[in-house]
Order: sequence, then C-alpha cells, then structure tokens
Amino acid sequence: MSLVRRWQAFWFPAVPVRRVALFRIVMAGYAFFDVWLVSGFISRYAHVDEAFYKPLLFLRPLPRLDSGLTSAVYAVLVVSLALALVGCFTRPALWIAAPLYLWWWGTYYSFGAVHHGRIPVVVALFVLAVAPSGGAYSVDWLRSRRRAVGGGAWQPAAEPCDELAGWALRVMMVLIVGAYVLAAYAKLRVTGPGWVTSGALEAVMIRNGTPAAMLLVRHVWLVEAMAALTLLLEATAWLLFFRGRIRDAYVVAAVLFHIGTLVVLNISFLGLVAAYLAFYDLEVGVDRVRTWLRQRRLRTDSSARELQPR
Amino acid sequence: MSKIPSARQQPPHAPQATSRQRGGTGTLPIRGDQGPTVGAPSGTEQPLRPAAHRRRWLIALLSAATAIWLAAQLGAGLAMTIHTWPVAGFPMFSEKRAVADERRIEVRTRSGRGVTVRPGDFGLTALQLLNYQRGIVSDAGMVKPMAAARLGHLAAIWNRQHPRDPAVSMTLTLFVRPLPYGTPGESRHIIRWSAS
Repeated sequence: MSLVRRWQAFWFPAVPVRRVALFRIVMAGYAFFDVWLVSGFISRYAHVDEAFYKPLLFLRPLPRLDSGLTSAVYAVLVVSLALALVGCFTRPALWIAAPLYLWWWGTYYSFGAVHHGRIPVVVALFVLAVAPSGGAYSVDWLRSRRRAVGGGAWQPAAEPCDELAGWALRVMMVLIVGAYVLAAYAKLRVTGPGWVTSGALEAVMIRNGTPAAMLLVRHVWLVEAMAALTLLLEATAWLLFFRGRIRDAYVVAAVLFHIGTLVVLNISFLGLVAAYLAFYDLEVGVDRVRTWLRQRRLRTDSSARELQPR
Repeated sequence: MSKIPSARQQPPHAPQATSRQRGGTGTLPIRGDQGPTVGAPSGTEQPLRPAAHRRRWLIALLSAATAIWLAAQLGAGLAMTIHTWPVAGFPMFSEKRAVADERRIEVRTRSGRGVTVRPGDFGLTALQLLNYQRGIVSDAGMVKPMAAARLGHLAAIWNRQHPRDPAVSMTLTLFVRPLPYGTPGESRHIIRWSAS
C-alpha cells in the first residue's frame, strides 16, 4: 500500500455517522455549559487594563473588543452552541460556535495564563463542523426524515458510515495522544528523567495550596510517586490506539489522574476527559442501552399482565 | 499490533432518510453511494458525479489541512511554545524547582492606609497576576530589568481604580522557601516603587 493510501486509510476511515453525532452532543454540550455556566466572567475582561493584555498569536491581527461587543459575542456563542447541541442547523451553528469559542477562551488566555484543557474542545468544534455530525440524533435529522416520509422517499437504510466522521474522530484521537506525549517530552527535555524528584510538582502543589495538596506535600515520597505516575501516564498515551482492555485501563487511569489534578491542583481537564469518547464506539453503547431499556419495558409489561385479575 | 477501528458497515438498526437533497445538514448518504475512492488508479474509475467530485476534493483539502495542522502541532510541541494556542506545546510544570515562592503586594496610600493588593483589584486571576509579577522578579528571587518601572506601572493601574486615595508607594515582597516542604530557611526579596 502506498504512503498516500496509508495516510488516507488512517485519517479517513468510514465510521457510523451516529458515532460522530453522539460525540457532537458530548462536546457541544460540554462547550455550552462551559460557556454558559463557567465563563461568563470573561465578559469583564473587556475592562481589564491594556498592560495585562498580551494577545495570543491568532488574536494579534484582531482588535480588542469593548464590553458591548464582548457581550454580543457571548450571546451568539451561547445560542450557537445550544443549536449545535440539539442539532438544529448543526453545521452553520458549529461554524459560528467554533471560531467564537476559540476567540472567547483565547481572549481570556491572552491575559498572561494559558491553559491547555480547552484545546480538545476547540478542535472538536471545528472538526465537528466539517464532519456530518448533524446526520443523526439531531433536529436536522428528524426534519429531513419527516420531509422524506412526506415525499414518499423514506425507506429504512443500513447504518450510514462516512469518512469525514472518521476523520473528525481520528483528529481528536491524535490530538489527545499528542498532548500527553508532548507534555512528557517537555518534562524530559527541560529537566530530564530527574523531573520526578525535581520539585516541579511539589512547587505547584504548594502554590495552588488546596487542602488536599497541603496534606500530600508533607510526604515527599508520595509527591515523587505521583510525579513518576504522571510522567508514566503521559509517556504511554500512545496505548490509547490499542483497542480493548489496554485502552480501557489507560482511560480509567487517565480519568483518575484528572480527578486528582482537579482535587489537588485545582486544574480542570474535563474537556479533555470528555474528548476520550472519540476512542469509543458510542453508537454501540447507545444500542446496548436501548436494548436494555426495551427488555426492561417488556419485563415490566409482562409482569403487569400477570398481576391483572383474570 | 495496532487495532485502530477501521471502516466497516453496521447492520441495519433504524430507519434513515435517504434524500441528500432534502437533508438538513446535507450529509445523509445516497443509497449505494460508497463515497470517494481517494488514491485509486484513475484509469479504472467511472466518471464522477459532481457531488462525488466535490467530496473527493474536500477530502484532498482536508488531508492537506490535517498534514499542516499535524506539522504545526508537532513544531509547537517540540518548541514548547504556548503563544500559538490552540496549536501549542505543553511545557507546564516541566521546570526543575528548588524553591517554593509566595508573593505579596502592598500599597501605602496618600492618606497613610496600608492595603494588600489582590488580583481582583486588576480584574485578574491569581495566576494571571503571578505571571505579570514574574516579569518583575523570578520565582527564585532574581530581580528582572526594569523591575521598579513595571511595579510602578502596576501602581498606576491600581491608582486608576482608586483615584480618591491613590498609592504613593507599592512594595512587592517575595518569600522564597527551599524544597522539599518543611525544609527550614526562608529568604525575602523586596522590590519597591515610590511616587516621586
């Protein structure tokens, strides 16, 4: 197989459209609640002094918006994410939401502190805008089906698969693995394997000063063990490309790791954790739940019939 | 051996609309349409319909965009730069640390009040203000060039928020404690700015 074919086969596997649609619900849902419930305070950054504003590279050609325009962006962003979540005008909604979400958090990160937890969400919104993520579990899909039924063109079809759906999920997989491996690379390049005992993690724990961190930091061996596990987890992220128990075990470890970073360091990577779903056959999970619910309903109906007086 | 999920068709599960023309997102496949055959020998192909032709171009375009993104992401990751966010490196917490630091900023106002300055006074988070302060004095206690001027800039911003009782002096105190935690010894570095 030629290199080009290998490349195409890797990046564009045809996967069920339902899978990418479910991924859309998760990521657009996360982004929606992230913006609506968490990030409203970013509107106030329009008033922060210019001296603190060090725009990220992509924001440098753009003007800094005043508070009125920032509030307008916020409103459009919330509405477009809500539409993307329910799958109403999915593609235009995602094409509006993705750059605005990028701008929104990019503006916040231009005040001197960049976080990485939202990179997967930004990328997810862009790739979902390209992929047929409104092709199932969406208002768009319901509308198109209703129109097809009305026009007599509707008929049951096999599970539709699409290369662009596969591409979107593949980009997410590579991004997630790359993020961890590059984080391990940075630690090894800057400090070397001695990073484990370098005090880097300990200093962050003391600075953030959460109750859990201040409790743990008294035990040097424990902090070093946590640092060793962090480095191991990051350096072995490529295991996510293996299906089955290896992947499952890695995901469980990574989720526990991120719960740990939230509790101990007060650093949230929930967007990254949500993006792990790109590795899974989500539509299979939905089918299993549906089957289980149907069987449960059948059992309930049959026991109700047995209880009826004859 | 890698077992990355590959292309496959699932058994029928649910009714699907089949009209591409009427589809809300324009993504529902036409029955029997196997999609593009990117990379297939051109001599064996039937003439492409316009939709299939467009899709083939889209995939080629996405393929190129993916290669560019991958190269940029790899470059940013190896260079460990973060200003290119969201295509950025991940250098967080990678530096060796021999000390833990704590900073405090205080002002003396014209009326003689002593006030501890909070990140919220500037509309910033603690980390954002900390990173600004790192341009004045490093975590290890190294005073940066123009430190007093940068502190004076901070005082000027604070004064804009408090015009009735402005600061006449501002002090940044850095407490540096050796690691591991609990090791005795503490050094103190003080940077001062005064209104002349």
